[in-house]
Amino acid sequence: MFRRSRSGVISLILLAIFFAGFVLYPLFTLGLESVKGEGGFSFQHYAQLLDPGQSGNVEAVFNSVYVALLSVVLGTTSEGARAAESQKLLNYGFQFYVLSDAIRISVAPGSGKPGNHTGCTTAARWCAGISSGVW
Amino acid sequence: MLAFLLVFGESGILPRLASQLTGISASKFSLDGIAAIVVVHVYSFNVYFYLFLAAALRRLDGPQVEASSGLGASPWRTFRSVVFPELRPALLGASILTFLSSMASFSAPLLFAGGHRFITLQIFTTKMNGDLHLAAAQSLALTLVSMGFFVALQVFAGSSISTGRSKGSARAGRLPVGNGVRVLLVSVTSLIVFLEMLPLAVIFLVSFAKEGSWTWQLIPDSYTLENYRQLFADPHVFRPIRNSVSLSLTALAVVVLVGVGGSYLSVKGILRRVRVAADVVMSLPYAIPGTVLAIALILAFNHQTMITGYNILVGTFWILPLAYILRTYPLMIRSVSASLAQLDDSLLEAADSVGAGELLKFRRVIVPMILPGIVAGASLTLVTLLGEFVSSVLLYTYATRPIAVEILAQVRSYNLGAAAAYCVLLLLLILAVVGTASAFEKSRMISLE
Repeated sequence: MFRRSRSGVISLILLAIFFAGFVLYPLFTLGLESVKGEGGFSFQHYAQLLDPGQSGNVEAVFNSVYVALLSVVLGTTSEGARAAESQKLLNYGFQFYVLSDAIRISVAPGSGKPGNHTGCTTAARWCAGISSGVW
Repeated sequence: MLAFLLVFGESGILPRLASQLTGISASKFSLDGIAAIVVVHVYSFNVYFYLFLAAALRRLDGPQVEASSGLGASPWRTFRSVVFPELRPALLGASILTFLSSMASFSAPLLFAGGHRFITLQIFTTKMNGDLHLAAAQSLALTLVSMGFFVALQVFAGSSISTGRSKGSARAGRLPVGNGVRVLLVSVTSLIVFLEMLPLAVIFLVSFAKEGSWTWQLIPDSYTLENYRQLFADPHVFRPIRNSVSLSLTALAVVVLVGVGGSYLSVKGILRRVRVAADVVMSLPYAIPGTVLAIALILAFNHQTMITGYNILVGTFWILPLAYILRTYPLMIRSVSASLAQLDDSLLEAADSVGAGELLKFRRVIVPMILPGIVAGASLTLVTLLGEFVSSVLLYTYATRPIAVEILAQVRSYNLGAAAAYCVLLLLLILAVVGTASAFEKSRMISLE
């Protein structure tokens, strides 16, 4: 099997180098730079961050969390209504449409096993594509 | 964001309309500050709830709903006791995604925050002031707060999730609701769809507006094709489009390699036994806000390093594709992993038994099987990258500015027509990507039939 082969090991090494060099190293540098002060190691930037009198960082964190929680709550409420509406739509057409669509989309050729390749219908992907791309 | 500004901002169409109807200043009807940001987030991220809930509703067991009604439960009680518990995992997933996206949001606070401070803007401002150490501390704070809430949400909601069980395959059910409720729900849904489409329609309209012609009027009163003509006639104007396409395609090539390789190692390869841990580690960049990632890349690659061949990446073309790769390769891994999970091991064993080499097996057996997953992941990646703004705004130079950064520059110069034309072109690019992916899927279905 490929998983026990030399090329599998080489792929793993390349992936590890990529991950170490371009993900872990930048994050490590970020952490290191955040504790560098004028005289070497220092928590002065964190002290500055937590000081409510300086540059409003605490207010900024509070506002970000507040808006994020509001976005979740409001999004959930409107979608609760949409969920109920979608449930009704399911009765009239989706039980036929989704079943056939899901089978067409999901059967992996050769395996004969149903599953879900794409995770959503074509129409939903168009909406998601527009939304995530523009915003 | 521009579309939202044109519809709901102080000079937007709806506040102007309300002002003309009532005689009250348009500023009283416009959205700004925290309210505007929340509305933009709800507008932008409700698609997460739609997709998650649509998938959950498809799995909902109809007989359970019918049994509830048959036993005399009211529609509301059926929804609360039967339907809603089944939807909770989907709601949790969408909530987490929305929360993380909102915390990382940059463009909405940038345009609408006014005097309010947001941590992503603080990071941006600090970096622009040259204090990278403080920016690093702010970035870590943002990451830790996001991760903290992420874990808290999972622990809080995960402990109370329960799902129903039934024998056999699930059949879609019907939630019994009265005509009044039905009319109300249809009306609300129609209104939401209208409000979601309105900004796009306005963008299209404004893209034809003559620069400087839209001042006090409700809608522009003078139209031209000049905005589009300039996009293609002037190389300087076209450059952001070319940049976005080339940056995205460069990143995509690496994303496909890393995504396919990583997911293969995780699902079928030597990381199979530690798949969950491997997935978590490889998906790490997806949970990191774009602003934080950009600051990390600036700090790591503003000097010579071995991993970059002793080149400085900051200020070059290559820093942008690198940021793009890190932001999107987890999407590709997710997509390809889903396809690989369905790949029958016996097919690989059959290829081994007939003496196929590893490369031949990969090329002739594995790739054709996972191609739909690769295409789906690639289209999602491209759609995300073509409009990427959050990392780009910290990493671009004038020569490498992408479309999203140029749109902001045009808005700041009050060239709304040109900005809208860029938006329409971006939208068309995205539709072309999604359309191509859909066409591929359809052609594959036809060939299978």
